[in-house]
Amino acid sequence: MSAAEHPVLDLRGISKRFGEQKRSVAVRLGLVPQKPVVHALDGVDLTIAPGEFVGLVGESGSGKSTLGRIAAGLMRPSDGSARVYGRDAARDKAVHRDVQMIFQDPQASLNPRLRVDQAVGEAPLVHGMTDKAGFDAYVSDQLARVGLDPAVRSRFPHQFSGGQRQRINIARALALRPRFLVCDESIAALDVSIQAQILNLFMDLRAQLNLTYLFISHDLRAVQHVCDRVVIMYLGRIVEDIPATRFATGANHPYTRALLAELPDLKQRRKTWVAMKGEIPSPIDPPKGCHFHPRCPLAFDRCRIERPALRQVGAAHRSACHLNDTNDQPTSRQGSL
Amino acid sequence: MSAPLLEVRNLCTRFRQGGRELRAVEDVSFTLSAGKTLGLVGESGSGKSVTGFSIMGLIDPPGRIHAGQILYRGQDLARMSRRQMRQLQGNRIAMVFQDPMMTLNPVLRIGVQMIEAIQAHERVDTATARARARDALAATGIPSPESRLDAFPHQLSGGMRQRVAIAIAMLNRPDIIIADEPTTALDVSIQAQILVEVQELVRQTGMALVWITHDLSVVAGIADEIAVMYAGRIVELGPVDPVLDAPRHPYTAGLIASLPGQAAHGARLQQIPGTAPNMYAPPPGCAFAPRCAHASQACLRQPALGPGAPQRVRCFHPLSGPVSAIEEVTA
Repeated sequence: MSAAEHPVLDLRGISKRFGEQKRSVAVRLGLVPQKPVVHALDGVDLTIAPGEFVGLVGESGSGKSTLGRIAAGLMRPSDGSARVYGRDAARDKAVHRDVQMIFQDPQASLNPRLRVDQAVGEAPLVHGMTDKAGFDAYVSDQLARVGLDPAVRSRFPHQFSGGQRQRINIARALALRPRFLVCDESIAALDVSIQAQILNLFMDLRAQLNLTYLFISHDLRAVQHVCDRVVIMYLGRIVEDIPATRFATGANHPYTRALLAELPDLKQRRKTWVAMKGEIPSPIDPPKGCHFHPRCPLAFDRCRIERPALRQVGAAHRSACHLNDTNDQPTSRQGSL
Repeated sequence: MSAPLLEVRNLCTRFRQGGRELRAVEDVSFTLSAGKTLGLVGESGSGKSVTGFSIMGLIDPPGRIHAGQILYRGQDLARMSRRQMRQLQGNRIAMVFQDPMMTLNPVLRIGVQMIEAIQAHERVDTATARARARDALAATGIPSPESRLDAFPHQLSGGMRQRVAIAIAMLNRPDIIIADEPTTALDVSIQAQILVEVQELVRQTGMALVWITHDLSVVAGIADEIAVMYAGRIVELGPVDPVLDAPRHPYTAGLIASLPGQAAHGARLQQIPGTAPNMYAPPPGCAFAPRCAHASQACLRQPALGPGAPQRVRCFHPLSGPVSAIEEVTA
């Protein structure tokens, strides 16, 4: 079967628990307490088609980075299957040529002792994409593509600004000619005027190289602008999956709508803020039923018991909320938040 | 009109190290009245935090306030002795930092730290101080404040810690609070909660607030006035509406235009080319000129902050309104 027939990313029933151990004799006898288990991801299904630019948003602790790492094959899920172009993401090494990851801190993700050409060119050399003779030309091409002067290739990371370092990271990721990029908060550490430059670069590269993106960010506006689809996570679960053009006005889930209401907006002056009550609960002991029910102004009995399924609520629009089963239409609930 | 609570005049703060001098803050002037919020906006290295630290008297060698005045109720904070300054710090003027652990001592219970902050400035018995500490925690929206007094900082979430830091800043009912990126490290929903509480406190107490941030949209929602800083200088200063709706400095306009949400979905964002200048070797004249589409020969000289209305701008080629800029007289 050719890879073209497969979705870029296919996650089915992905769960990830940290700190899980076999119950030792001492624990069973009650001599030592059981170590707490962090439920980072809980039954996540997500499919990304070729060429899609998917944004993944959520607060800290929502599991978005864990999901990104599993999608990039850097981590094995506790349950479920993660496939990239039809291959097992965690076990098949060929996956690593197709998917590359770009991290948040452009400084921490570069080895300070490696020159730029070594950082960018090492992996392609190992994978035989270039040879010693063509090395300089290959690295220069990669740097030029991300808007860096190829003459900088003999410098070290500390000689660059944050925005330039992030360009080096992007050049390094693209040097292996991946088809799928996972960007984990890749613009969060950059200044506002530099964020625009990097977002533009991501959009340009998408057009040039026909890339597929999983773009993880807490910046709702950036995600809404560059992505085709926005996936919203809360405490290890996907609560909504919505086309970006409908995100601002057509959100279905109470959590998404609360997030949007709290978003500062340049056009709202001397705004009276409305705040969602409480904080995201601990993933060590997530609430029963719908994870959002303790903070949800619309929660009813069923939300406290039964986990809502992520179901179709419109064209290319999925949401996990019990209210969609009642006759009450989402639009009529708008005012109550 | 009443005299302003705080008036900063031509503040210059410099750091000298290894024979080189870094001019972190140059010729910064603004006034702040009671009950008003000033948004101090800029990117990293623009001098916005150093301005806040200068007002608080927190500039340590190799840094020093090179020139200018910081007038608080007519007294010049820049000329005050360390002892006089300590009576004001945390009492009349308080600061909230980006990282609440800069305020909190990790090995002391929150109540102990708060009682100490009260008793440092006032002779009150511990029971009264404790009650005031509890009320301050409650005022920032912390649930069950009484039991939180006995908690250690590590037992609280990031958002709760920042509330405690704000409560400590509020303890002595200061006239001015300087908040340096207080919500930057927090999630959107927690940021909104903090903004609700801060707005409420400003409304109730009539204190003045300096909100230092890189986030223009937060400033839009909370501030009365905006000062935009670039490379150590205020480049645009005025009420929120004209500055955000009709920015006159090309840098302000560029920042606003580069925000996602200003352009159509998926369209290229407007970007400011280049990067912020190296502050050890700033370009001659206007520091923004190398990145500016409107720059000319004139920009090789340093423009002064013009007297214009409604907003003041430091530019030889402002985007709208009369050309009022004159060259700065170098001291």
